[in-house]
Amino acid sequence: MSRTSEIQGVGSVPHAYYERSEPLTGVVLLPSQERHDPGEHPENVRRLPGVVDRLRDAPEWDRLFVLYPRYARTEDALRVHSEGFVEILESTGADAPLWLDTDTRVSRDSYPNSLLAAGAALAAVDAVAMEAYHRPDSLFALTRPPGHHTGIDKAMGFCLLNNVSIAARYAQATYGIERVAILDWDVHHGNGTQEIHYADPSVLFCSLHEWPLYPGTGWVDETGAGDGTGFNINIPMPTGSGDVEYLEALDRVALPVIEEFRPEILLVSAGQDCHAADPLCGQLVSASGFKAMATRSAELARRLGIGLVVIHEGGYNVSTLPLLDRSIVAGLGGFEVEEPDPFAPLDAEPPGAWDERLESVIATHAPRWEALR
Amino acid sequence: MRIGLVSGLDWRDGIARLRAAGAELICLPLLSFAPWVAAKRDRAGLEHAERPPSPSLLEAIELADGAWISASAYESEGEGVFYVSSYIAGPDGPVSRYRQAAVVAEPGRYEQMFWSPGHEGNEVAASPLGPTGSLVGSDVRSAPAWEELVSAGARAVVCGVAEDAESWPQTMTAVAGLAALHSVIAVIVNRGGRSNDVEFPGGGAAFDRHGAEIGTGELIEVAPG
Repeated sequence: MSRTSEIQGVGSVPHAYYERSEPLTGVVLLPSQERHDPGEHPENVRRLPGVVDRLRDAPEWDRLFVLYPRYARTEDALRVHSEGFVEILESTGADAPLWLDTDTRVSRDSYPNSLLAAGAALAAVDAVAMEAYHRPDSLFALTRPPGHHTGIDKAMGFCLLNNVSIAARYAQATYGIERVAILDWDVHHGNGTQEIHYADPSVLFCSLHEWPLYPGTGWVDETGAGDGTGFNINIPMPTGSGDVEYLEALDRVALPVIEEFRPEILLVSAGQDCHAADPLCGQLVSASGFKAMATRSAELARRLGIGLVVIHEGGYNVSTLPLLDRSIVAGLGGFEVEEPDPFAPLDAEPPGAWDERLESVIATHAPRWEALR
Repeated sequence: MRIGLVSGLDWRDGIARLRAAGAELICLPLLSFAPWVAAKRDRAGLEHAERPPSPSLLEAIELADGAWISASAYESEGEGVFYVSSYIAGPDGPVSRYRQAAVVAEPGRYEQMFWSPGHEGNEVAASPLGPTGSLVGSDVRSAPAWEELVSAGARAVVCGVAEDAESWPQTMTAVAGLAALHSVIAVIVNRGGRSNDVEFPGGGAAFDRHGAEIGTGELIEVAPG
């Protein structure tokens, strides 16, 4: 039961306004997501329906806050992307299907669907940020296409609009939020998100990604530029990293730094392609690992009294994605998941060079962040 | 007509031998041309996938020398997109294709790690056995998969599986029952030999429209459906 304990005023974010005995979480569903149809492609129309079906069949479904999105407006996209780029994306429908790069294929309705995907992230921001009796603590926007590879003026890596960056800028523009933290655990480096916020100290970007891997960026020494120096934290995970390494990266670097940054909203780029059965990576994270990462993110947001928006990025095994996304929802809401992960590694060797990489990240960022000293 | 069933790992030798023995339709088991990659949770197995149409399938058609082939190939439509494609092919090439839809994950068969569920529906081919459909893997125990084929006009169903010694008799029983339920001829062939530390017993059988066994072994005489 919620109770009013502190009134921050309309549009304020602190979640101390409502105290609940149990967290309220939910999902933003993307109707007609199949309109973005790249065909036989890892990022295909079959990724999300299985996720939604699994969630609907789960016992926790009735306890979820379920939202449908609105379309993002062009002005929302233009807060992060160039006008020329948005015009190009808008014009692709006439010539579709076509390739925007060697990985990124669009169909006739891809652009409107990408506006809807970005709108799902915005709807989630609205829901966790605005004053409302049933304000959720966190929401998971089940979006596609993903977005974190798209920079200011270039679509790549299956991504069209950068949903998480659009959400960050929207939160700042709409709710008077000054500081936004973005945590990215997709197996690929979020090079687009990095590019957009690289010189911006109001957005802390922290990425855990397999390295070396596509797109090739994301080494430790990419720390930001100008006033944004120190606000871009890359944790390049060695191939073969699993739950132990990912949670250590969160516990020793990402979460302490985010806490010190004192964001007013936490956004997560959640790519489940670091799972042990994903065909596009070499990592070994299990369903329990995703649940634990979501739990830690939710606990941090709760400690800080802020909203949490999780935005879907990668994850390309259509058979395992339903369990992984359900595990994330379970982590956000404190639910049990009774399904075992048949791909959870039991006997994985620790990846080589992990300790050295972690120490390198800590040494690089310790001068800026007290939490790392 | 004579149906040849290739269970062993040396599919080239099996096809050539059965063709020489007069087989007009040669059936191969699940993942006909690749090792049993699903045995282990090791992404190295993905490297065995071929671009469609599988060059191994085309080689098998050549080796069949005029006979028909039913086989399933491990195929990739590009990075990260994998399927098991089941073909019925005549002397001039593939006539029908469908992709395994029921994909499982359990010890010794981590199929979900290596291929995605098919989504294109199934097809019926006019083979020497009559209007024929194919099913592979767990699809052979799927009642809806049989109904789809029968609704599309199939009078015979050829099945390719990779079952261990414990599940193989159960799978044969299920196929015989489904053949009787739908009043079609059924042919099933199991993977044989040891692959990636998993032992398959091999074997095969044909069942008539009442589910009665027509024959077992490598070469079976069957009246077309």
